Amino acid sequence: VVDRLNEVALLEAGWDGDNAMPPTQEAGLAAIRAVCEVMWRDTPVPAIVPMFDGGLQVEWHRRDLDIEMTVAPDGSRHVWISAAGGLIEIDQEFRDAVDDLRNHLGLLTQA
Amino acid sequence: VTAEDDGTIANDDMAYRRVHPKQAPPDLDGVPRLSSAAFKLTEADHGRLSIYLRSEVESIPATSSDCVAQGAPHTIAELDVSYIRNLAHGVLRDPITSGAVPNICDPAHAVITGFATSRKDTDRQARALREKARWPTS
Repeated sequence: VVDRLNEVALLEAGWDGDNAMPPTQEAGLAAIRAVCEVMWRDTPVPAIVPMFDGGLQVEWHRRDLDIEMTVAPDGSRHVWISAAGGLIEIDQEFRDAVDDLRNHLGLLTQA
Repeated sequence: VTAEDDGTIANDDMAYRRVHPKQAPPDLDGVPRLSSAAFKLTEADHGRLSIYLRSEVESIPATSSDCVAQGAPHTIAELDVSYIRNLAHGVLRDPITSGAVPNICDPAHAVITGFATSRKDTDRQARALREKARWPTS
């Protein structure tokens, strides 16, 4: 995870060929704190996606289970989970979604 | 929100969206997957998502691959205009006439309108756009 974050952290202003901001230090640190809190030992490494505003998205996708954690440039975090083909949808602030996040990351590992 | 829309843009037209490879990483099975991050706005976008219209690109004449930014390793994702409208967005022509870095596709530039203002709603809209976006087949 740290390697992927470091790779994204190297992006410079305008990395999209336009006006995108580089990821902020606050977003990077908040992402690391979050994954340390919810990932199991065998949880697959997530994709780390830069956002145009300097935020980050931490994503796990496998078949009909989608987990996205959005980290804003100021470090605030939000979680969206779609499971069972969309029958289950969770859309909450990180702090309110920690248990759901852990549970679904566990399911992801078993999938 | 009633989205601004140009009815002269046909429903069977196609929108091309520039996508940076960092925003289309492989999923856990190794298949490249567009991220909803590629469809999220910043304050600088003023509520409008940048696209190019296939019909206008073809009339230049140019192709979707011509619309990537020079020097940036973009790919292009495409979306049906009808699908965009079904999501209660609109589409407006917005040709670029004084771009800092001119591109052959500048006259074909357009925008998707009708985005919400709350983060939760704009995230939902970005996910919905991502859902049907695909790589060009030709």
